[in-house]
Amino acid sequence: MDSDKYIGLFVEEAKEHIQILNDNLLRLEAEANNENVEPLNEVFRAAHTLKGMAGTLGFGKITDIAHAMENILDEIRNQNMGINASIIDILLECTDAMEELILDVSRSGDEGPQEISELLLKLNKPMHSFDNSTGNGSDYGAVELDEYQSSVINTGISQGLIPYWIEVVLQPTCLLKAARAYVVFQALEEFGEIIKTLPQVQDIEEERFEDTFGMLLLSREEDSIIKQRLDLVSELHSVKIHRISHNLDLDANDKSVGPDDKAKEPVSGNQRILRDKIYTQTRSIRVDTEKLDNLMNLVSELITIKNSLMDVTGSDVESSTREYMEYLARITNGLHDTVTKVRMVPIEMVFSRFPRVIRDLSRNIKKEIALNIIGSETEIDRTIIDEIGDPLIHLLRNAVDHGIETPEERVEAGKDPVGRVDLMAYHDGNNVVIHVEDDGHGIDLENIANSAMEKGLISDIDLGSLEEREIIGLMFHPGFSTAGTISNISGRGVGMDVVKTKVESMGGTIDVTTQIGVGSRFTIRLPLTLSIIQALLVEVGNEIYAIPLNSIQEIVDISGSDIKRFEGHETIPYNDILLPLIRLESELDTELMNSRQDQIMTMIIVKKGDRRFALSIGNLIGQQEIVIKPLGKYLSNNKIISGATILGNGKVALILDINHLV
Amino acid sequence: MADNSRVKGNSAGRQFISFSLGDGIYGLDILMTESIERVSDITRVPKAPKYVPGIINVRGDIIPLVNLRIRLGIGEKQYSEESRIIITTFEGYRVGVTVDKVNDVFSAPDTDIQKREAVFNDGINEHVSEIVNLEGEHVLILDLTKVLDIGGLV
Repeated sequence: MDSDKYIGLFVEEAKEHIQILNDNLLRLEAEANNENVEPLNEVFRAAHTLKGMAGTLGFGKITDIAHAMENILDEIRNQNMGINASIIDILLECTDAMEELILDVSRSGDEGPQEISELLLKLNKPMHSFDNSTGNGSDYGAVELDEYQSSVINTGISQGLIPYWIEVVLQPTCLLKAARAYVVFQALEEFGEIIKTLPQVQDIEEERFEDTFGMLLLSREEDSIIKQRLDLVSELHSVKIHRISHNLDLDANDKSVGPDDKAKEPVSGNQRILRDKIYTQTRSIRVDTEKLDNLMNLVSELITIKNSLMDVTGSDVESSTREYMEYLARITNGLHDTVTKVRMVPIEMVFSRFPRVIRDLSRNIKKEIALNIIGSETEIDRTIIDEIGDPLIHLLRNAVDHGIETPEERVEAGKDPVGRVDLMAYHDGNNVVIHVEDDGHGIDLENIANSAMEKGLISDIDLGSLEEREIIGLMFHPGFSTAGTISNISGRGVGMDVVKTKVESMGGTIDVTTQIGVGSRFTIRLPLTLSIIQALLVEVGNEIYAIPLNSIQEIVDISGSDIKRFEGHETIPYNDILLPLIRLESELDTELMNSRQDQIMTMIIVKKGDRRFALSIGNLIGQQEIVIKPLGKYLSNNKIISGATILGNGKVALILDINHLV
Repeated sequence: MADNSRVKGNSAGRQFISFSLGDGIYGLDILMTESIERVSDITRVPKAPKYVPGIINVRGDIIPLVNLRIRLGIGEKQYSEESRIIITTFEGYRVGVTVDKVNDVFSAPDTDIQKREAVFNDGINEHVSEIVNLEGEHVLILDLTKVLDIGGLV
């Protein structure tokens, strides 16, 4: 029942750690010759945390894999083992296995039936020695103090205070670890001052620690009294209180303070760095989307008020009302901006998966690829983040698989044998632009045109007259991309229509530029946010509908007598061509509008992909900024309505989804 | 606290909201309801089932409606002063149901609650999940999954 909540938390956090593992294993491989121990430490920490989290919830397989990983990492750290691609492969394999198990947990609440013994065997093979005692997480052997803390302790000692190192291990069943730690802090502060904690206070407050945490306490009391007090706190597994040795030498380089306990092993320099680094990485703040949605609700209410005020001032304009309205408009704009920003997350959340994808792919197909990621800090709406991953992976795969040549071909062409794939994101006005660019052999437009002709998408008469843009457009045609053999000829095109549809469903566009022998660039352009849009309000029958402005090309007035019928299908003339006419009133089953033959009718020209349509509407009401509200789960089957918005008078208007309407 | 005896039932029972539709008295488990609203402007949704009259704005949220008279085949009737919309929440769905009149909120001990199967044959009163005996009067408790036709919506 309640454990569901913790499983949700576990899955979410575990995914983060999997990402950290992926990132840093790749870094570890790339920087194998460097002295930089940070990636190794990151990997170690992530594996260790995963082990702890999985252990607490009783996920044995994840715990076992993480433990075995730790053993290998320990060997690497102690320099008993070098780093090479096969070790990284094994560690990545572990990461994948754990990821899969975590997915199982997220789906069913428990680990799947996968057999992991083989993997564990593989993990143990490259080991020379085995140290079972690694990473039980309870041995903060040494505490590093900064100058300020040392001086506080020394002053304290001179005033007759005793420095204690207190280590508390929580019971593994303890669920609110941060709250429990707080209780411990409260208890200890009765006796004196806490100089330092390990991990840092912030990390403890945010539950970024295992079962164990330590505190440096300056107190007048005897350790037995402190122990007695802590014994009253529930859910503690054990409490160790060490009196710290008095001979603090501030002048020496090594400012670490060891516990009195002589049995403690000396800690090697390397390990000490590790322990200090373990808790230093700052991670992003997670914001509950439900809270954000509530915030959005408030903002939309404000916009509603703004709109109703606008209605009032239409008839009698009093200066005070106008002032008030302007003020309100300023507030809503400011609020809109702020809220939009809160909803924005760095695109890194998506991009960070790709180095791993590219590495695996290039190893598989024996191509060398350098992936350059630029602008991963670019912020983008949360909703887009969730959707954009798959199209991008598709484009990257295509770039590596079909765009980049084999190393031999590249050398022959006088290029660097290492292929370059650039993934770039940046803001451009109210849009986010993402480039996927490769320096491969480019797209052969002639091949595309020929293939399209073979597939019957175009006639050979068209062939000569097609412009470059139009040929590229063929690549995104559904009929084109489903043809399996074509990818070998054209080098591209598998599932490109899917990419295009996805991007367009987010209100974006995709373009390609390419040059034979030089490479290709795919450019995706997306709106910054999906929840507030510009729309045209129109009246159909007696009802008001909103049409997103970005799907509207033009508004034209057509005389009723210009409508031509072809076998029951109506068309209108538009710039010397005919466009199919869709009568919204019959499409939406509204009351019929009286349309006399010669009456002037207002039409909206809309675009769906490369095709254009004319929609007949009754009256134009005007352009307005609207807040998109979902129709909810109950009406989610209704495709022609993408949502609703609340108008100035509190009434609800439906938003038409042009893509599904025509 | 002393006047507990007036509330029918005890802590082991459940609470229901009762309402009228035509001549019948129906009920919903109170845990599935969120609020009661007056009937305000309803926006029609094209291509929706006939028993879905449209959507309404409830304090900034868009809520779809189900007209219970049409849904249960009681026969259409204009909304009146007494008509109400009961906002229900159920497995992630938030739907308002229109009723002729909201009567009362009452408690019933488990002994006064009968399963539908114990009273009706298959095919009769399929939208009902339970029958509650409220001081001699029988309240038909609606089964929201069936009333809202979740899964069967086109």
